[in-house]
Amino acid sequence: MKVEELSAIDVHSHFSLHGAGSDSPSRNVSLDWVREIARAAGVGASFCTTIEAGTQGQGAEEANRETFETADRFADIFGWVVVNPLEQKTYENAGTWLAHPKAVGLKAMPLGHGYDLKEYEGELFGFAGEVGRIIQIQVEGDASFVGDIARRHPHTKILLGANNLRGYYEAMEQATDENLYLDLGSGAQDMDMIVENLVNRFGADRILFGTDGLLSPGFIRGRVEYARIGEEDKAKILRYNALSLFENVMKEARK
Amino acid sequence: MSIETVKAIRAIDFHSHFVHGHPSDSKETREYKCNLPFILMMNEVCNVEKTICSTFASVLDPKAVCAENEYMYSLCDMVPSLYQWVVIDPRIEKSFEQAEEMLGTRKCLGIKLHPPLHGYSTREYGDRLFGFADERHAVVQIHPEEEGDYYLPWADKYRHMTLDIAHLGGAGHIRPIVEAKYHNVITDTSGSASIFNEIVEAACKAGCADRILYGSDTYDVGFQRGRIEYAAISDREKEMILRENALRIFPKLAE
Repeated sequence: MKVEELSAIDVHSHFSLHGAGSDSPSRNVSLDWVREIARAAGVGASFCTTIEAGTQGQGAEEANRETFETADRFADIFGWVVVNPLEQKTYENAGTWLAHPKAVGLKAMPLGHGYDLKEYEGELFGFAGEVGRIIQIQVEGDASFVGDIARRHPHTKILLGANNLRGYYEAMEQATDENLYLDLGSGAQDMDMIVENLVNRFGADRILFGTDGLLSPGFIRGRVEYARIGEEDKAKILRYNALSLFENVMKEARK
Repeated sequence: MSIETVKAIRAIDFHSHFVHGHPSDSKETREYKCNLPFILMMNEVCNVEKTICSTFASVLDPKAVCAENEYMYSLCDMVPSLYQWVVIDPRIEKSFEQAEEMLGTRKCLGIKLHPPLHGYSTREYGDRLFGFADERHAVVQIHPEEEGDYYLPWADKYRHMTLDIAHLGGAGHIRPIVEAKYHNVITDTSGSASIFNEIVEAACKAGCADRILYGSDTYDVGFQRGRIEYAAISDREKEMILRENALRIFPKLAE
């Protein structure tokens, strides 16, 4: 199958049930629009949280309820379970949501929730390890310290969201247990060597397609399809790595 | 139209630059390359047939404008896919003389203005610049120093020029295209603002598809192509943006 015919899997997206977002017509994260542009770009599944969970102070429990009620309604929507260590009972609640058949893993949003990831490293990554689920995180600024976190938690799979320019390459280098994954859900993919450098150095197996909800899926898809990497690597990034990493959830969803 | 057919469209990059070893050049990094051989290679990969350029040095450094215009003029004779924007700095009389000589030759297609990097104000020099273009029925590409609406009075006053308010990014680009009395305002998708998920679609919904042009600004050529190929717009609009609008505005490109 040609790469452009693949149904892509977006492992990093967001939506809102409360409007388009403040930047329309530049960005629109209303659920209907996010689903429409995904369809236009041949994206068959999107792994989401609500946008409000990270940007507008929505509580984790409320965010998870909205996400999974939406996932129940639409076959193409899957959910990340939001945890916020500043909220009481967050791990207990997360444990309940993780049992949902379309729950792909845990999502920590230190920037949106206003805490230092390093301060809560033990409990967040410890919990992820305990429940045996991948955790997606997004950090602002230099991400190189995430490589150390990955080394300290070798049995926890970590998906570093929104691959950006600063420190992501270094974090991957430091993650010697190969338990660190990257998604491409950031504007930095406009740089014309960033994907190529990652694949040439680390291979394509730990790089996944993502949009952050706000970005055009066509932008990221085009970036991958026209990258100077092998066709097999493109297919892995767009689809097959997600199928492999989230095998159980995807199987369950197909039932 | 299938995605394969859209990919077969030979795109025209309406807005690009390159570095060539000038002391004022933009710096290449591990993630970002913008030398001409690299850009030509990318064009080959991304099925971009022709590129309309000014050198980076000519927009970054007013002192370099005249020499770079000459360099670019000669280079276009040697590189079949390369076309020229002649750069004018309104404080440099010779740059007007160069434009006078070069416009109308086979590969110099229009005028490039970069007020923010050259360090002048359109308010001060707009009438001189746009009047010059108007007399010659020229196309002007401007890197805007303000919201696009700022340029509308000049577009209405100088009806024989066509004004490309570069870097489609928001409602401020769409409004002047819609409101220009003489339909002489256009925009291009170059830069990184068009990576967001609704802007191209919103501009097309507003009826601007015949005045949007594909451009890269040297950011990854493939992502810009993917942004259009997979946009939630009609196939006809994709054809127009990727190629046909450029051929209509510059029939010389078809020669």
